[in-house]
Amino acid sequence: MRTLLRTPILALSVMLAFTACSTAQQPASTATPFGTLSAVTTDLGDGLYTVSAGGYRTVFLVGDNGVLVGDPISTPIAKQFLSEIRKVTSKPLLYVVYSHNHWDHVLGGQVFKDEGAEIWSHEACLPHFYRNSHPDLVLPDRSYEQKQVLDVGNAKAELLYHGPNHSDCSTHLYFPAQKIVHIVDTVQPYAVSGAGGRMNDSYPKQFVASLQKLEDEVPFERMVPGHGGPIAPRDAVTNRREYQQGLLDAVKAEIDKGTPFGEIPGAVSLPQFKDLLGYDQYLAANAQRILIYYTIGW
Amino acid sequence: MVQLMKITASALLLTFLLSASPTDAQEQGQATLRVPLNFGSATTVHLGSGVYTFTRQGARNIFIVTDDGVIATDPISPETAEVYMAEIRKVTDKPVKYLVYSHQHWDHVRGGQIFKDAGASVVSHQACIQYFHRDPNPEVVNPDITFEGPRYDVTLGGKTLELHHFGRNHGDCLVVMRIPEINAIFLVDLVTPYGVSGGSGLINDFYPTDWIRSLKQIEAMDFDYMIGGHGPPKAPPWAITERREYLEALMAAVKAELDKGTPAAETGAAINLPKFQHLRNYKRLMPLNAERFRTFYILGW
Repeated sequence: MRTLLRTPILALSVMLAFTACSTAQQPASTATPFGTLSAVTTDLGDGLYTVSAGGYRTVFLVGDNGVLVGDPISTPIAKQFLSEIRKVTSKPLLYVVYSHNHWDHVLGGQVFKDEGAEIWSHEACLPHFYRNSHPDLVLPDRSYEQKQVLDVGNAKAELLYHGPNHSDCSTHLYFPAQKIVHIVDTVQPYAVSGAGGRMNDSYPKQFVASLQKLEDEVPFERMVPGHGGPIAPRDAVTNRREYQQGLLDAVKAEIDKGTPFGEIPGAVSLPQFKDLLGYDQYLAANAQRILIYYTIGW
Repeated sequence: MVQLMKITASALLLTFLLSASPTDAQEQGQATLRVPLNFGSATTVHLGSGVYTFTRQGARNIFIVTDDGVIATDPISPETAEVYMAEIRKVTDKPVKYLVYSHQHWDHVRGGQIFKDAGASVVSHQACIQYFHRDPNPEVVNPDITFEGPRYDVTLGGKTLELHHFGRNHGDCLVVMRIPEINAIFLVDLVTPYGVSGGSGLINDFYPTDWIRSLKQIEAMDFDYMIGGHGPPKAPPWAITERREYLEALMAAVKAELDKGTPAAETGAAINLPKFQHLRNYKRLMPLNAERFRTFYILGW
């Protein structure tokens, strides 16, 4: 219960940091809008760990042969992550897996590459990386299409693609031994869509299908998000999918009723989700994004 | 002149489409904005040499009448397509042979069925197909003819409609249409003259750096005026330059605020672009334009 309580509070602080006040921000020393926090590592069992710093979170898996790590986030944070990994093992870094294409998660990969890691992403990330390069972005060495299993020696991670959701190249990183899936940004447990609420969930309708596919095909029991507290139950995924579907239905209902366009975002109400983090602040912005989808098909 | 003023009023209203509050509507003397939009009567203007521009409910397209038939463009919506077809029929009995899509967004390409039923071939850039498959809409007719690469000419009855593709900018498949007969371009959504970026102000499905690159390529084209997919029937080439310079100035200002560490909620208020304050909706939508660019700098998207 303590963990569950902490999760939303951290998540809220992240969302607020991105959208409203980020007074802790020190642009000279950090590449993220979240400010600097010291790294915290949590042991999830059987060689799986999650580590968070500066409001961002990743995972790493330690096997007999070496280490697989998720998003590097940024050069300074990747360095913090590396020193956390080194507290646990001196084994070589074998793989980095990018969660999706957004710069705020995938910069700083050179820190791990210098340790010998091979960098993976879903193949649909590649056009994004080619089109919008960034000096701190290391291009993936390898990509996959639907599924890729990476073995670090008696410990495995599955890179799974379930279609567009928060981006069109999101990897659900599944650890079968632990029955834990790492989902970045598509699901922020028990929260509405944050970070301004209007921009980031780029594929409003496929979003639902993608999470449904994850739930149907993967027997995960818990999830690790890309921001906030370390772990949440499987229900957090179902909850987010149902919220998204609720939004789609509610906005469509207002359009069909003939509610004036400008009034639709404010008219939408989803009382069954009123306890979600950020509901009061972001519901209208979330609804506006859905309204744009119904208007232009994007 | 009266007609021109009316058209401009429609364009102004269009910019309130996605984000208008009742106050905005009242300021414009409109009691309500409904979906589908019901402002502005349909208007067709002859631009010369058989080239016409048609507008209804804030969206605009063109059509070209030739000896062998008609080249039509964006159907907009099923309701507007019917009025559009009727306007074409007022001018000519010749069949509509082609219906050309400017890009994939539903607010421009719904309603093509009546043209298809009348025998028209639907044309788009190949890159639109992925969107039509990903998000099928029963009101959007799939193209019959697609092209890849930077250029395709639709020719009919001795007249030509040049389709120029500049890669990704507003989506991936937008074409700028040049009409050599009147030396003009039909330019949808990349520039709505004399304003900041409208709609919701959030610059949806725009890729900022590609957008600016494309505008530079468009500025280098040979044309005397532009016909916007929203806005007045004619605008001078400098309307494109003005939009590009606004985007460049705003992006630079957003980057500077980000580097300074200005929080998201204060970024819009911190930015002041005196050179562009005259632009329509500057005060209301510039901060939202800025929000989109801030996201771009953080996410690379």
